[in-house]
This record gives sequence, structure tokens and C-alpha cells, in this order.
Amino acid sequence: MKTKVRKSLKVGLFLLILAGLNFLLARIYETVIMSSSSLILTTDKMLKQVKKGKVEILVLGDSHPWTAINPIYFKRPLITWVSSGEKYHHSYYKLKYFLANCQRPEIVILPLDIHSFTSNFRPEKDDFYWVKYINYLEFGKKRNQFSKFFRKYLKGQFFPYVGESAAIYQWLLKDYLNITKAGFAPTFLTPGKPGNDVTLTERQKTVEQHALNQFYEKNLKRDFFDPLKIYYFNQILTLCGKNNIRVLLVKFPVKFEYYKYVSEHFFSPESYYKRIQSIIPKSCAEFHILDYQDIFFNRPHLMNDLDHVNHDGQKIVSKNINSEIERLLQGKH
Amino acid sequence: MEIQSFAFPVFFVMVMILLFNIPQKGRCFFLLGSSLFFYYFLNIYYLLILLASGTIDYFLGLNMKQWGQKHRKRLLIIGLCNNLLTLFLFKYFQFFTLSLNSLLSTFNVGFKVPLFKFLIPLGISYYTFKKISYLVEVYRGNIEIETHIGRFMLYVSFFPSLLAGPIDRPGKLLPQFKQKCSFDFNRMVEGVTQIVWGLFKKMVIADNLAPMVNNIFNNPHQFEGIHFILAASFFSIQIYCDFSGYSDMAIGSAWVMGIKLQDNFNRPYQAVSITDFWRRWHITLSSWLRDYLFLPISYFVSRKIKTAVWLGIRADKWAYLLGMTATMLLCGLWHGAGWTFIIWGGIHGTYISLAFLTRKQRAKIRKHLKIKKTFLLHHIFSIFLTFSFVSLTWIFFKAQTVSSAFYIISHFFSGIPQFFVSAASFLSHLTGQSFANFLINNQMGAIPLHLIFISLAIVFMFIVERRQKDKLNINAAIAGKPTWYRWSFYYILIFGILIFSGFEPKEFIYFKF
Repeated sequence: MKTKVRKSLKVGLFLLILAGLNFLLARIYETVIMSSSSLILTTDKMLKQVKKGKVEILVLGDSHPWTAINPIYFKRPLITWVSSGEKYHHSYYKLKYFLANCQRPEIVILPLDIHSFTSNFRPEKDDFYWVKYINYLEFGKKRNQFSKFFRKYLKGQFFPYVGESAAIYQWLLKDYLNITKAGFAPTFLTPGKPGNDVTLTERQKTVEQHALNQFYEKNLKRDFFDPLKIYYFNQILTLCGKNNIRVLLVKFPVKFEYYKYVSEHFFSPESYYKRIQSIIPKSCAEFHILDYQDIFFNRPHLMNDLDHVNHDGQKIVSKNINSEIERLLQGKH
Repeated sequence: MEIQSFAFPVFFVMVMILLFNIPQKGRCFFLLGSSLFFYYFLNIYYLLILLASGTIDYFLGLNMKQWGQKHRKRLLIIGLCNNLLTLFLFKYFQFFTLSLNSLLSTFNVGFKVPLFKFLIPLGISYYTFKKISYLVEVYRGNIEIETHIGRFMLYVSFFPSLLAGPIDRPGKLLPQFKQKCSFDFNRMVEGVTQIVWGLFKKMVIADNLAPMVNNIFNNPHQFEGIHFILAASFFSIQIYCDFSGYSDMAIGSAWVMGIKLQDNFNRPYQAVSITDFWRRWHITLSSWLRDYLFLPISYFVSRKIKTAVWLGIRADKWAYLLGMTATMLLCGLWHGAGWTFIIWGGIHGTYISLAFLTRKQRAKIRKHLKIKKTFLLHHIFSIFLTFSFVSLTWIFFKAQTVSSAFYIISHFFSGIPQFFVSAASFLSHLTGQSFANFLINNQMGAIPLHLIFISLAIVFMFIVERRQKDKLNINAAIAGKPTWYRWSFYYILIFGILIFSGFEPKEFIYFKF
């Protein structure tokens, strides 16, 4: 009996130390490693400032608004609370959180790009971050992948460091991006320099590969209108409508060859956008569509790559959006 | 449900809890039910094939009891045909059809053998060998016939070793299913330790080496000399950690349930010769091949050669050579339906045969040079040479085609001078960035720090195995050590697995066989 009690105590102590070490590693991972090296976590630091003050323009979305919208060109207080590869369901949950914890913005800016609705669900990372915003169990049920998202929930909550050796290496090598003011992430190229595609064949290959990544990767159904993305897109608009927030849907600039490839191989962008307009619920927010998709067709030197502007391009896009916002808020739109 | 997946521990814990809480009489059926459920979870088609072929062998074995020698031999032949035909149909039919059609088209023969694709049941190579072993041992009278169909099917389908061995002998495994077994805490700790050790080797070392190795082997024309040397060496480590990791998990799982499976690896990369390597690598397969292929073939050949010397070689040597060559070619074929595997087996067979033929001459040379086998330098050199040779042969094992294997070998030393120039440059400006540039310039295709950590894990593994000394079990490395030592070891393994892997399992290499 005594031996059994001793063994039980030993096992208990072992598990307690294990739990303690796990807790320690999880905290070190979040507060030391990720807080400095995780781009997505550093954008959250701005939220702390935002909670104190008023933000009039909230930018949500992926790397397109992240690299194209520079707060210094906006007259009104703006925050780009975005992340690379962010989908509408991410943006929806973030918006929910923002409305619950910060003051209501006047305008929300969302990307409305040609890849925005494809059934492309690349492996989603940074569970430790997203578990704070996304209800993984609810989302998992919606995607019919409850067990997968339950694992992601466990990982995000209790084991954030699991399988993240690559992130630890990046931190050790100081190999991470820095962002500038209010979440804006400048792209890599210096002003005035064109993209790094060289020969025509290489450029064509790059276009094909990028298009395949955007539209075909993990998209076994070849569905360019994923029902779940449509659902969350409408949820964002509905939420904005309930909170009297205006929505700017921005079609960010792309290179001509990319646009042409998509038109020839996947779908006609015109019919794509017509369909989007038809799925937006009538009872939702006041929304406006800003179409900058072709503004750099003849000026590829303003693009960093096929679908991101460079340092020079972001000035033009930011200023344009700022002008539109001013017109909108002054009632001239 | 892979053994290293999220679902398996849940399944295993449930089996464990129920196993020690049901009466002894029902345990065999419970384990059988669990094993069949485990296999059914993978694919019902696999289960049906196993049940069908297992039932045939059970009744063949049962009938051997009643018949005389002549009829017993017939039953044995029927059993062997049943097993080998099943294996051939599911695993080799497509390969032989494609090879035959290729041969026919070479001779401009218009006819083509129709091609049928069958889904290869996981583990078929392993349980087929177990069933053959049973039939042969019953035929030879070495074991009692198993009259209980449940126990026999459990022997064939026991879930820890179903998918990738060990290939246990019926004489060792069957009696254990009859023995009483109760829960034992120390045994559970030993079993779980072995499982975790296996997971460490698989998920921390093997799975992290895989991307770099696959990148180089799948695109050989983009790489040169130093990459091939690294890839071959890393693949040697990868396949060892992958397979021995699985074996450890299987043996550990069985031990928790009170079943002792045979050890399968004995530090093979500390072998001093190829013969020694095969005494340490996949021990249950090599001993199976020795007992059921090599010895019968050698005996058969020695009976057929009437003269004491034939073509200048003694009859016993002929028996050895032919037996070894046939055995290793079939060993290669067992591993995979492909010419690369056959060549791999053939090279090993050739080398073992050459080593056998020249052993006296080599002993004379050593004596002349006054080199003793016990000399440390000789020992280290022998290990290095054996590892190098084995790594070279693994190229055929891993390469996608014979031509890409030959391409890799023929370009082993290309680009070496330029590599040393850039290595010297990196060393002279030793910084983290220069190391990164060095690896990028040489297209290593992996994060440099990652390689360092994995290399540390490999060194850690070899040190731990060294501590095992003559024991084949990881528990020997930590037996008798204080609590803080053992717990530190467990925590290093657990957190190493968690950090360097993830929740998404990668398939074991040896599942393909």
C-alpha cells in the first residue's frame, strides 16, 4: 500500500514538473521569442495604444493592404491590423474583438481581390495568436474539421511552441521583418527598382506558379467561391452594418500578366465581381468598392511582385484611398 | 491511425485500461479484437485479406498434425504458395508486369501483359513472413500446432508489430498469449520509455532529416558532390531512426501489455563489417532470412554439388556464395518491388560473399602488418568503412530510379574542390551570416541552425546508445541512475519531440515494405 502511495506521488510529481516546464516553455515562447520575432504579434502591440485612443479607420486583411496602406498618408487616425495570408474568417473574429474592446471605427477597409474567395486553405499557423480571437471550436464545426481545430485550440492554448522549431531558429538568427508605424509593412524593394523577374520565360513561370499557389493549392474542389469565405465576408458586412460602420472594399493593384493569366485559366474577373456583388446581403453595411486593380498595368515598376505594390506604389495607393475616404466622410461619395 | 499519431495513444490507453480489467480468459480475444479493429481503422480491405489468408494458414497448420510426412510436406507447399502468391499478387504483380512488358517491347513483341493495380495492404510483407515461419516450424516439429484460432490470428495480427515488425517467431510469441499477465508499474515505465525513445528518433531526427534528403534525391541534377555525400549519410541516419524508432514503439507498446517482442536493432552503425551490420540491422528479418532462405538454399546447393571442388572453389564455399547471393537478392526484393531494391540487395550479397571468400587473405595481411582487430584505430576505421559502404548502398534504396542512383554515385566527387574553397572562405569569416551564405551558396536547402540542432540530436542518440552497452534496450542506458538523471532524460525526450515535431505525423519509411 505504502509502495502504491509512493509510486502515485512520484507519478504525480513527475506530471506536475512536466506541466510546470510546459507552462514555462509556453510563456517563454510567447513573451520572449514571439513577441520580438512574430510580425503578427507585433501588430497587436498597437492595439494597446488604440484602446486608449480613437481610431477612425480600421484596416483588416492580408498582405495586400499590409503593404499598400501606409498610415502616414492618411489624415485620420488609422491602424492596419492585418496579417499575411489573413482570410475573411480571421478578419471577422478580429473585428468582433475590436468592437468589444476598442471604440467603434468609422470605416473598415477590407481587400476584395480575385483570390479572396477561393477554397485555398493553406495550413494556418500561429495558433497561439489566433486562439485569442478565433473560436476554433465553432470554426472547426463550420469547416467540418472539428478534430483538427480542436487540436489547434489545444496547441494554441497550452502548447504554442509545439512544432515551432523554425520560429525559434528565426528568433535566434534575428531573421524576422520589422514593421513600421501602425502596422504598415513595407515591401522589400527599394524605391524605383522593378521586380526581380528577369526573362520572359521566368516571368511566365512565376505567374503560373503564383496563380497555382493562390487558386489551386489545397483547393481540390477548384472552387473559386468558397461558401465559408462568403459566409464570413457577409458576417463582416453584417457586423459593420449593425455598428453603423462604413466598409471600403479595395481591389488592390496586380500586374497585368497575372490578371491576364487568371482571366485565361480560371475565370473572368468581371463576372467574378458581379457575382460578389450579388451575394452581399442587402441589409448589411454601407459599402463602397475601390477598384485599383489595373492602375499599375502600365507601370510595373511600381509593383514589388505580381500582386503587391512596392515602396513607390504604396504612396499612390495610400493617397488615393485617403482621398476617397475624405470624400466619403465629407458626404461627397 | 498511425502509431505516432494523435489517435493511437488514445486507442492504446483504452486498450491498456480494459486489458488489465477483464478476466485472463478473455484477454486473448480482447487483444485480437483490438488488433483487428486497429487494422480495420486503416482499411477494411486490408483486414479482409489478412483474415482470409490467416484462416487458410491456420487450417493448414491444424491439418499437419493428422497427416504423415508426405502429406505434411504437401500442406506446407500449399501454405507457402498461398502466402507467396498473395504477396506476389498485391506487391509484385505490377512490377513484374511492367518489367515484362518493357522486355517484350525491347524485342518488338506486340503483346503486352495486362496491368492490374492492387492496393498493397500495409504490413503484408511482415505478417506473411510470420505465417510462413509458423508453417515451417510446425512442419519441422519445432513448435506445437496452435489449435486456438484466436491465438493464431492474434499472433499474425498483433497490432504493435503488425505494420512493420518485428517479425517474431511463433515459438517465442505464441506461448506469451497463454501466460497470465497483470499490470506492473515498472514494466509500464520501461515500455513507455521505449515508446518515447522511439518517437524521439522518428519525429526529431528522421522526420527533420527527410526534407533535405528528399529534396536532393528527388532533384539530383540540381546538386553535386558534397550534397550527395551529405544526403547519403543523412539518409542512413534517417532510415535507421525511422525504422528503429518504429520498432522501439512497437516493442515498448507490447511490453506495457506484458508481451516481449524481439529486439530488432543493435546499434548497426557501430558494425565493423557488413556481416556484422546484418547481425545488428533488422535482426528479426535477417535471422528469418538466414533460417528460412539462406540455410535451406545453402544445404540444397551443397547436396547438388557432388564434387568437393568445382571451378576452383570448394563446394561449401559455393553453397555459401549461392545461398548468400540468392538470399540478399530476395531480401532486396522483399523491401520493394523495384530494380533499385534488387540492386541494393545484390550489392550487399556481393560484398558479404567477397568478404567471406577473402577472409583468410585479409587475416594474413593484418598479421603481416601487425594490425590487431582490437586496436582502437582499426576499430574506428572498420566502423567508418562499414558506414560508408552501407550509406553508398542506401543510395539505391532511396533513389527513385536506377539511373538517378548511378548519377548520384558518379557525381559523388564533383564540385568538391569548389566546396572546399567556399568552406575555407566561410571559415575565415566565421559568422552566422557567413555560415548561412555558405549553405545557401552550396544549396544545402535547409536552415543552418536546424541542421546543427538535428546533428546534436543525432550525437545525443549515439551517446545514449553507447550507454546501453551490450543491452539492446534503451532502459539499460538509464537503469540504476538516480531519479533526477532519469527524469531529466525523459523531459529532454518529451520536449525535444514537442518542439521539433508537431501534431501532424509523417509516414514511416518501412510501412512501404
